[in-house]
Amino acid sequence: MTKSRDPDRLIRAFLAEGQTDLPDQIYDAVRDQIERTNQRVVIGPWRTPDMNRFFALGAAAAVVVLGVFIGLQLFGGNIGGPGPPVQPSPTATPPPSPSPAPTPQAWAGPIQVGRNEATISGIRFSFRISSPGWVRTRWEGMINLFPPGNWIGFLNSFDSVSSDPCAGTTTAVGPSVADMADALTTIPGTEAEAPVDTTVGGLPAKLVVFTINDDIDCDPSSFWIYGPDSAYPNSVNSTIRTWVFELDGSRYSIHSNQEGTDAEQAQEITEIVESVQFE
Amino acid sequence: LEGRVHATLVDRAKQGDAEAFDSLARSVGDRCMAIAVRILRDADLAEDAVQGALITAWRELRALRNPDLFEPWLHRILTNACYAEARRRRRWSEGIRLLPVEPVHGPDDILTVDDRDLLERAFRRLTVEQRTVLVFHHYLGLSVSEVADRIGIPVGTAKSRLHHATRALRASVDADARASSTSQERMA
Repeated sequence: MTKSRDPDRLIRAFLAEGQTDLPDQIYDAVRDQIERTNQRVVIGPWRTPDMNRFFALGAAAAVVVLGVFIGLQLFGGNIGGPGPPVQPSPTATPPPSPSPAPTPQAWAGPIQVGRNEATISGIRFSFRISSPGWVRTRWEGMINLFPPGNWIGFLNSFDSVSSDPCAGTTTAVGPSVADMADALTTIPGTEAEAPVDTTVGGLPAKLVVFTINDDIDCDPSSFWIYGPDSAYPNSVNSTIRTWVFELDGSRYSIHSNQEGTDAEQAQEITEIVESVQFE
Repeated sequence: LEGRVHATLVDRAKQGDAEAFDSLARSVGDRCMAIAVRILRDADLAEDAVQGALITAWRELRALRNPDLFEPWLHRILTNACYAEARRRRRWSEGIRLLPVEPVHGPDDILTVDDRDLLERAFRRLTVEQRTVLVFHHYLGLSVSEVADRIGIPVGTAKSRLHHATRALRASVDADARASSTSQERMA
């Protein structure tokens, strides 16, 4: 910058540069997703949705209650309309036929229905997606189901949990799978179920399910589960499922966030994790 | 005319017409991308933000009372999507290396390579909220009150963010100009 020039003009010129085209694949992904996403039924004043917290909890509760009522009236318990997008029932999806070997992919990008292969931190594994709508995010290991709220983070290696999630303070956790599973039940501001024995990729694992209390002292996006800059819930209306297991002498976890309590979405998340196979 | 076309498509999309929404998305998607990539300074993140915003818009479309206001309404959703992407990026993985935005030179080609580098670094130091106000004001050409209305913040807050962001960028430009001037004096 060798000449004295009008800074405002420079700023405008700087902002005039850059990409202005949305790639076709994004339009295609949106089209694919909206065809399986119900539009929300409007029952009250307009409010701009927030990407992280779509509605105030009270309003959301009102929508759900009214939605249940309307659903029961209209469909006799087979509820549609308000609430999270209805996922195709996993049981309605035909089981994948014997398929060729999964195709390796770069992490970010759309996810094919079927078995997908990935490598994180040198560990090769695959997982099966039974319905469209999931995308690999730019954060290696993380897959999202749009609209945001449901996501899975594969192969984390946290060695602490929060002792005060809003303050970002942590407690070190012992080395075993059981140590981490037990520690996850102690995070203040959460209600956890006792760890249960399960498997991930055929390996012994423990699953911990916990919910975020609605009276936490900070915004959910500042509620650190494993310590600062780790993971936070999308909302107080989130259910966290964490699978902890040991692979080749190291402890890993798979962390998922479900916004809301839709049973089919919970099942879909669980099935994805249970489908993991290590190479 | 564009507004009326939008309004017609919005009305159809509100009835659940995915084809209409697809047309609507394609008519506004590029502008959304342009906004998001300038706020987030990362094309991949911007794509995620726009995709999320469009799906949210579809889901919430029946709440939009005035179809003529579709695009401003979408921009507010997009702004929240950009904030969410910026937060998620920062918190989920600190190790991600941001690639510079691909320079596509505009008609007002007054920037040198050094200018771009300087402004890029200064811009990234701003908060995502400050960058948003700058983009809506300088790139879309909205007044401060229009910016406030578009992204759903008080006018005073918009003024404050614009003031601090502009001051920070100007300070970078001025500091660089002073450094260049000093360097030239030494050489002379």
